[in-house]
Amino acid sequence: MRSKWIGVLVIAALAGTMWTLGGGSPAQAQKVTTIRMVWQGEANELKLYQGLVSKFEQSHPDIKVKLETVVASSDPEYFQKVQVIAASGDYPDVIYGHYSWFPAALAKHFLLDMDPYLAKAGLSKSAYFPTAIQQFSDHGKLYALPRETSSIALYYNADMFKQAGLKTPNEYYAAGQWTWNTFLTVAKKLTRDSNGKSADQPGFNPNAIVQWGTVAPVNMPFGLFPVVYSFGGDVLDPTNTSCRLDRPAAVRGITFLQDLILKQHAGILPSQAQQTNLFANGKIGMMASGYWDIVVTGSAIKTFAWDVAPLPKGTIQSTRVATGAYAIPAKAPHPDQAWTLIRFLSQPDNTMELAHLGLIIPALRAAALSPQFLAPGKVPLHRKVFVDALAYGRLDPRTTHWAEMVDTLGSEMDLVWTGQKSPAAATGEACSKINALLQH
Amino acid sequence: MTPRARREALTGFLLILPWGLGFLAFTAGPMAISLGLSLTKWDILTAPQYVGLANFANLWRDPLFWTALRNTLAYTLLTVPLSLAGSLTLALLLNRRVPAVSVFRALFYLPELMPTVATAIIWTWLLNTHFGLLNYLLSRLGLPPVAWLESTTWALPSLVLMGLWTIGGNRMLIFLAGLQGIPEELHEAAALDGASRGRRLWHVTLPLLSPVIFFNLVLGVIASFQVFTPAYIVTNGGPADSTLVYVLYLYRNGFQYFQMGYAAAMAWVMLVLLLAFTWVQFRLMQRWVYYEGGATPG
Repeated sequence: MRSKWIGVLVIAALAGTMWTLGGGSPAQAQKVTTIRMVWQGEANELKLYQGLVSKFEQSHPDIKVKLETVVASSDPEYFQKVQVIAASGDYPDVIYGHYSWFPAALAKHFLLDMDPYLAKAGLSKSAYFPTAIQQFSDHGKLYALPRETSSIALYYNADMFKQAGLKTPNEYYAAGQWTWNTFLTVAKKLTRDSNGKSADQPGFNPNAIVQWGTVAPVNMPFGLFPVVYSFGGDVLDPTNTSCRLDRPAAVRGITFLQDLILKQHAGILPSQAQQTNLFANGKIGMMASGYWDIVVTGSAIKTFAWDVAPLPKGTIQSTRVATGAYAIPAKAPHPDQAWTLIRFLSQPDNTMELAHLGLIIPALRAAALSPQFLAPGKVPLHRKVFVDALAYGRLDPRTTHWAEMVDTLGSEMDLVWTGQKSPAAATGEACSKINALLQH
Repeated sequence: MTPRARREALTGFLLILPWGLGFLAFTAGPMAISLGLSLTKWDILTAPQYVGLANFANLWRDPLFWTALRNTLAYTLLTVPLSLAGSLTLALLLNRRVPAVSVFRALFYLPELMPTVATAIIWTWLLNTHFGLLNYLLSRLGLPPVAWLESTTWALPSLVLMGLWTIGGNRMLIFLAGLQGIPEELHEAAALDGASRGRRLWHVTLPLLSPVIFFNLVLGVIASFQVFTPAYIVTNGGPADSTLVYVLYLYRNGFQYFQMGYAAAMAWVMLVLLLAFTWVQFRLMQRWVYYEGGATPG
């Protein structure tokens, strides 16, 4: 009995010691301010940031930085983590965030206005791509300093084009012929069944396809929205209060995609293509995607030559642009030190180090247009198309109901791609649901 | 109470104190808070506002809530009987005295040890419309390919199929333990009386195993109501909400739609539903579960 009690006492004593040890340290940190930065990054980015932070701490001995790296496989998962941190009331000093979370953070006055800091630092917004500034601005005030930007362009298997005797998308583009109609013709010629027949030949068997012309750009939202935009359509009206996907232009774009999949059999659904990384395995001719895929998919390509080209043109040349940025919560304990860190991370040289990992386009114009970034001669040769696309690309509509809107629309679109609903009926239904959401 | 008994009781309480504190802090506490939150509108970024029972009223009118509930019930109705039958059959097979039976037991148990996310991804390959093993087998039989994960008809059954991957896991282990607890002499006596293998199974094994079957049934229903991972990883609720299960919709409301109060209300509705299901099962149990000695707990 007695020995049991001794055991309990020993544990209690140990716990007590650890308690005192843990509580003791902040007292010494009188002069040094510790700031916390919540961000998302993969292994290489983490290594880079750790290096940047120690460099920062050397040049700013009065500030210590605690990096809180969220390892999340998707953006929604990252925001879930950020939200939980926000809910706890334990505000970090710097939050890195993407476009999709911003409307809600803005509507709830969650972020600090950065204009005074920009003015004090003599920093001009025009140093950044206009869409990047626009994405994080409200009533002319900037609420997050853009870090990177991205646009959607078209990846293609150059060897597959050569073998089929086709001009490449870049050649069509240079000749002013790179339209969705050309895209469809090319996609059909590249689609092959197990007998080697292409989708535009008689006797083609759509149940035995072994090579696809393209991934059907129907991913939500980065596949579908660029197509809608380039057919002259809109997702929401300019005030972001009503849905416009049921207007004729958007419906034409969606009908084009439905035909591509169901009638022409030249497009594979993105989910099926991703499961086995079909593009990297040389089974797909074209794939619309963002800059990040140069590293994510490009590094997996071993057996063929590939490149990138602008998206085809509909009634207009368009695409989708999205941005990520550093923000300071309005209730951050150390906003000044947070700004100092953001300033440091946003310096051209530090931004370039991040850009060299290959996942992002710097939002800083000079950096993105520099020869070091555009890497002439490096695969993919036409990587500048991503940067050029920033000039004509569009931002997603800004709504606090973003996630719900995308899910609602996606559910209706699923029925279009399987042929269970017509584009007109599906967009009509989606719009009435989305309108109800937006007025909510 | 004698002093000694009191001392022992005190020691006992002290020993479970860490667990008790953990339970209060990490289970009971959050539950109480979530009950409070279910009466509020809370976007997480700003303070919650009290809205009374509005969340529950909105649930009643929310078509996606009913879709999610229907999908979850369908999933449960398919998964629970199939997996119980599968686990029981496996347990019966692995309870026989054959060479290397422990190797087989380990092999069948293995899927349980694999991370759900990894198995989910393997299943997306098996179920791939164009390159999947399942459609290859169908094509060998001269059947057309099925768009398993892209069809509103087949997506939910595909998730059920994935769930059956672990029939050799913990459930089977519990059955196996139950089977080994059945006294050998009952089988011998029945065999002496001329009972066939099938009759021994029906009249000896199953009645004596019925408490274990009941245990697995109750836990199986609760677990299948909470299905989340395959629907989240493999289909993300699609196509067209055909695999939008209850917990996935709850998660979306809480963490993606800025409606944590609504999500809390959903959680409490699920708790009430599960309590009702379990109560019904306990009522029905008295008709078919046999306890040695005639005692029926609960």
